[in-house]
Amino acid sequence: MTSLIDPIVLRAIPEAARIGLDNKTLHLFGSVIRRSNGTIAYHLQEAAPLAQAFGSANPMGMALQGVSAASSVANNVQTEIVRQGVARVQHGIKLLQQMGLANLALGGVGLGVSVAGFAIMNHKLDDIASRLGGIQDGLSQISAKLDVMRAEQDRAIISRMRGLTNLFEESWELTDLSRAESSWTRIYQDGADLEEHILAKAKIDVANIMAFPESEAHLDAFALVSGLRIAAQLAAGEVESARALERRSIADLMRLTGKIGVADLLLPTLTEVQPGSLEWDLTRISRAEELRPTIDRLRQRESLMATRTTFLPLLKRQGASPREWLQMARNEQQAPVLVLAEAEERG
Amino acid sequence: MRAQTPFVRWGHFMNLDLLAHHHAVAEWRDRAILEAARMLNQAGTTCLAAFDGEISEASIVESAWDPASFANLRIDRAMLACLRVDLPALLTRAAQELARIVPAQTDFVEGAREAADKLAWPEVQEEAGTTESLPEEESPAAASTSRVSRIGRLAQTLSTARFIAADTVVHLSGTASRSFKDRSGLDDRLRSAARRRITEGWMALISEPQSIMAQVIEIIDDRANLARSAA
Repeated sequence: MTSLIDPIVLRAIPEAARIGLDNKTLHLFGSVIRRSNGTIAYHLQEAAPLAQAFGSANPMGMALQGVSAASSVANNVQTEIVRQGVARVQHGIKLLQQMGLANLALGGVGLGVSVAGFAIMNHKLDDIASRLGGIQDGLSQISAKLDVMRAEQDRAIISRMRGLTNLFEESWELTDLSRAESSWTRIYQDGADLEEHILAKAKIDVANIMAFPESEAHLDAFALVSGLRIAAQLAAGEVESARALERRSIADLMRLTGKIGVADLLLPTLTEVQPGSLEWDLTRISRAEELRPTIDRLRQRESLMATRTTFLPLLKRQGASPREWLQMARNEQQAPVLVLAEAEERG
Repeated sequence: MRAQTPFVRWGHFMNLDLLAHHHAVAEWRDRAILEAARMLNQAGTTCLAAFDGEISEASIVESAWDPASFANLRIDRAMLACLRVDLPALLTRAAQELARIVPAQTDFVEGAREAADKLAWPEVQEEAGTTESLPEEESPAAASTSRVSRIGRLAQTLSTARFIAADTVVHLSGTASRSFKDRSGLDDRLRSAARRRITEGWMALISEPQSIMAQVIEIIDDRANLARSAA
């Protein structure tokens, strides 16, 4: 059955978009590709096959397991079909990597709405959990007990995030839509105080400028939980609530990180070097280089969190529901990222 | 319960232009602050090198008793010569660049100029007399004894000053008690005072009174805040 979305969905980033990004007539901004005049040309949405970007060093081998031992003609045909499918996934992931999108998609915020399946969410949670373990306030012995307490709190946060993620994933398997909607509503509600709690921790981290980039873990956790709540509201059909949530979360994030630049992270670390010396200048240059990726990540996170629901007006014009779109991303077999093309880009 | 966001302009759905604008301003702010820091450090490097050539002008009394006065005067004078024109010019150039990011706001450049005019530069008071002038006439022998004891007293005073490490005070007393035969330790004290002047008077992020760096960052931050609200 053809969906209302099908005519506007592309299963690869189109050649025109790649050329435009290369010659700077188009710009990647969070989850959207914008024209020079600021209007949106394409919306990017992570999809289930993205999981293969980290799932296995040899995804083709994994996919072919179970059919490779068969020798019948039918199985050979099936093997070939799977092989072609896997090759397309690999090609898509390679393209994402070349465009620098793979890391964005696998980061805490992700591309578009976080619905690409448990494997990806689990990967993101594991990443955040491992980085939360690295945050220390530098007071060593004095703060050892505080560190233990903080680690316990962080484990509790991760555990609650996993719980909500599991509930979100299971909700998509329910055949009774009303039960699914009730689960999504629960995720939205139960996630609220978790989001507040993480935000409070992120505020403390950000105030400790010296703890960057480790302190970004709470920012990613905040992005992930707010994204999960947005996804839950969109799935439940609560579009306005999802939009309001997006606005609040980006406003919160901007208050936390919007004014932080290289200078803020760099200059306080130069106090150990004598000003008025060549050494100071060389240290400034090398540390600025080291800190640049951290600032780039802050700006990317802000852009990604501000572009999670930008596709809604396009879907509305198309007469399609957000849930259909999210379901399509979850069910996708070959494209690691789906693309929604605005009318002007469809010719 | 989270407070209502005062950031009302985020209330507009898909206000990506505003976010892109904030990012451009953040980039501008970084460039401006880091360029000012680079300029201050370069001036500091030049002035510290020049100061080395002036050390021979310092009397033993100055070197031992009050290296800060000798160093501050010369460092401030040299830094002012390097920066009094160039630093305001940098702020003006930066403001012109910002005006291109926020074309609607036209008074950035004038505002930056006014702010640069109000920079509280260190006041350089030329020495009243020669560096050898002492409070009272003393015979060399008496002076020598007296200086040692005064240095002892000074060391006691200095030990309470937070910026003088205890080992420096010991070094001072020790150096003085060697009858000033070895000037190298005293010269190092002068160099150290000069470096401290660059650090605290010119490039500190937090200091009282505010260093030039801190004042410049404040001016740039003010411009950046104006630019953010002007979008």
